[in-house]
Amino acid sequence: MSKGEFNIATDQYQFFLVIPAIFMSLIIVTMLIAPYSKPETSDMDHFVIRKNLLYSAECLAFSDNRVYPGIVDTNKFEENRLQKCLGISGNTYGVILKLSFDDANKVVFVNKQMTDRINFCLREGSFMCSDENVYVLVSDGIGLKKGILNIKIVGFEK
Amino acid sequence: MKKGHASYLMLVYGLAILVVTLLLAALMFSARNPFSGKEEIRVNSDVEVDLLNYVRTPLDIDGQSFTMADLIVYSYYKKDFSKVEEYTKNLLNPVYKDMCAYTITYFTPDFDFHVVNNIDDIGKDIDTAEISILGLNEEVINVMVTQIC
Repeated sequence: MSKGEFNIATDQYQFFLVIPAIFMSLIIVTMLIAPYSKPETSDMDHFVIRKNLLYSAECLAFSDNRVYPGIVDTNKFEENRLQKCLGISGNTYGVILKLSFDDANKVVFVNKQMTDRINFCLREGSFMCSDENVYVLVSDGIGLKKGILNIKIVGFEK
Repeated sequence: MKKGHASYLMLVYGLAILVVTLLLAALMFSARNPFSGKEEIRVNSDVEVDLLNYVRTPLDIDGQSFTMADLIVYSYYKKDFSKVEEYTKNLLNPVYKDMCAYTITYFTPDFDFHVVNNIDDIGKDIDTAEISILGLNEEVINVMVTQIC
């Protein structure tokens, strides 16, 4: 074999064998570590909506000189305020809030364009929904009362 | 082996690896990645709000105003958790109903001294939140809620 022939064979070897093998190794390593490094984020948007509702004074959280996360101010339990606070409209998200305290029940529908589609949550499809009860304290101007806030969120599957 | 024959094998083998590599890349970077695993631990529950409200719940016991945190500290010194158990179940059972199981553990840095739950055995895939209350002699009394839905 002449010197020139050896060089051609070496180049072919690198092109067809070594380079793809390196790429494949990288992909396999990425595949192996992906499940551990990539958190599940599919319902993170619902989580953020719930957090905004419960932690923000612009939404439901009671405030005087400071904000009290998790304490619901009944004066803030109002559709327009919550829609503005969450910044949801049109085909984005719909939120149904049901506040139960003492013997009272209050319900608010935020963004009716989406909350009207709540029945689509019953079957799997293009909607993603969540339904969670949160133990809250309710400030109704008289004092703090025990309550349950049910938060239903309707959105589209990502 | 003849030179032409060896190059041909190399070409076929190399192309096969290339095709497999491209297929794997296509699968990995497609919109729905079949290899991405589900995270075991849920980070998106509101269990810490439940716990925060639980310890600051106002209680009226025999005409005296308490919070649940006060009652826990009082019970810790009296070594009687019957009231804590009764009020905890009254507060949290209607919240979790049959949808979720919860366990509340009361402990100091040295030992667990009481547990309240609605279902005995709580499995994996759980959410937890923990809060500390200072005792009368500045002991740290911890309350941890563990929840599975």
